[in-house]
Amino acid sequence: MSISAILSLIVTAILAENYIFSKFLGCCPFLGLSENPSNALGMGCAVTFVMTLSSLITSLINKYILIAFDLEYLQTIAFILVIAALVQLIEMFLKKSVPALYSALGIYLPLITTNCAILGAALLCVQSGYDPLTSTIYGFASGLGFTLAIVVFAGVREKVAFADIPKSFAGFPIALVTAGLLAMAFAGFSGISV
Amino acid sequence: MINIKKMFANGIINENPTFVQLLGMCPTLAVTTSALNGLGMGVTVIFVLTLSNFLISLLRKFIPQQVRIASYIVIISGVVTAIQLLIKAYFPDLDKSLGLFIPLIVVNCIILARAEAFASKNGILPSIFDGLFMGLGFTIALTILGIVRELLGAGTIFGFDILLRFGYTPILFFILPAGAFITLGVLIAAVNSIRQKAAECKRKKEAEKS
Amino acid sequence: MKKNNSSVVYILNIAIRLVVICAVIALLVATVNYYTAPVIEENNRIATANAISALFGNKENISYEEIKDVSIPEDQINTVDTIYSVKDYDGVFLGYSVKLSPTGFKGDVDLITAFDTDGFIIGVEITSTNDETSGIGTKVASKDFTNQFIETADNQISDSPEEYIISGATKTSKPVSQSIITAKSIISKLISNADNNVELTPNNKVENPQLNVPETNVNNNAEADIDNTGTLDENSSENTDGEVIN
Repeated sequence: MSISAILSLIVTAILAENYIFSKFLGCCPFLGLSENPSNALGMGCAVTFVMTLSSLITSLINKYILIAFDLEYLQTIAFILVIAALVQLIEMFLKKSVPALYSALGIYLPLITTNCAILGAALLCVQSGYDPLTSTIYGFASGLGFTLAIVVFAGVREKVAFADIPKSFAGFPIALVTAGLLAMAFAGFSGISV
Repeated sequence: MINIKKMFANGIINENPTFVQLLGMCPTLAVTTSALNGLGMGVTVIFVLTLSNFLISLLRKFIPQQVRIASYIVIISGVVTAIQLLIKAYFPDLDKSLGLFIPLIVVNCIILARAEAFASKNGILPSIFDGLFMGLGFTIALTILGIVRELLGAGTIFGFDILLRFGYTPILFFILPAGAFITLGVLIAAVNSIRQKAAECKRKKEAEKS
Repeated sequence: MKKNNSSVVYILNIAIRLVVICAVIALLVATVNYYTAPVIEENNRIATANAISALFGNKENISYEEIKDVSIPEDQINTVDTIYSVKDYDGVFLGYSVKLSPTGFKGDVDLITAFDTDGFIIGVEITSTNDETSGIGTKVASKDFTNQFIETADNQISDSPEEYIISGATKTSKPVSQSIITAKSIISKLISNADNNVELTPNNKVENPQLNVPETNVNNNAEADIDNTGTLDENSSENTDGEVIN
């Protein structure tokens, strides 16, 4: 793929087709974890890392094993197992080398396994027919988009927490409305083509 | 003895997966661009949830504790793949409208949460009912959201013209992602306010009694 | 030593149980796949058959055969799915049909084009616009849009997709227009290159549509063997009588 095509892919994945505001993938941690910008950044980095690696590995597995042996119907199962294993490995690695981040992420680290965004990215790469290199780049860019969304959202939510909100809107509902406003802003990117 | 009535009320109202437990947001927001899509996704989830609860409850003594999450995931993804193949074969239109979100049911928090919270600790029959009722609650939530979004965004419900005949100009916003977030937020706020009022009424009654 | 042994047994126990669960699940899915795969393929075949038949004037018993080894421009490889040569029941060569899936605003738009024996476009049918914004992107499915591409000897389509875009829906209409223009140039090359014409066979067999994107001479990722299951989401959008079962 040419450089401009790759750049276009990256920009699209981060802005125009942002995983959260456009594709709705990755909402659970997005809505559940975004109250603190630094936690959000940590989560975003972890997700980006897992996404990049998993896009690469699942793309390779799909190309050399599943397609070769006519086993495409096992895609979902194989991919989710790869992701679960990757997250497990990362958990063990973080526990040993960066314990501060490990305890900050807490329960949300194993929950990355069930993050729609990661499985979604893997399946989208396969559906669009990207080769392993393009898949990796796409996974990385999508992760960046997710990180951008979650960090921005955390910043906004921090401020909203000090505002005077109707009682029934407190917590989740106002977060959803805020996300909606952010989604509107991101919708403005949808006309971009590089 | 399982209390079916109570489980029914739990699944649909008290512990509604979408409005109360706030689980499974991804498909909720993405798929409800029309009432029919919401309904279709909900019904699919009912099947998956019931089947996976059944299997996990059946195997609960066999699944090792240390790798239980991985085991649940394997079982759930197997069930989802099987159902996806059946849908592709016998309901191809549904497959087209739900698209990527059928395989994504695997990572739908609701299914894993029920597996962990209920099916791994209870018998087969109660687990089946739990899956059925939670799925029903999810379906109702999705259908309501789908109806609201379709009505405001296209003037129709299930494709039947409701508002267009009055010269209503559809507000496309509600079908786009931003509209999804805001509509769901308002709906949950509405449910919250109903629940708060109900809790207050209950408290007043109990205060009067004593 | 004893402790070591029991912990090894312990881990082995867990591992074996996990493997058994995986095996059982894999067996379950394989069984379902065994029974549904033929049905899915048949669905796809019927959908394609109906769409092609509709474009060629609803003739009954049309047969089509895939043409492979056609050179496709590098940037359109993911767009052009399959190229068919179409014959009617008596084996008379009717023309060509090209199945396309350009990427629109959010997902792929599936369409089928039909060309007569001279390479003029005689019909365009959008078979799926599921991910496009309804009321905006889905306008490409309207007759107003698709009829723009129907050609006669005096009136042919231009080379630039800009002439056919729908304002407000450019992200959907431009790739679709471009794909139709590409299809036309491929078919024109096919016709002018007489060697590539498909031999008319007496027994017209209907082959299952395969999404094999042929290799080109350019050294790039031409080997995009697009997976049939899951991407070929076809919808027979018209009620046709022209069944194509052979």
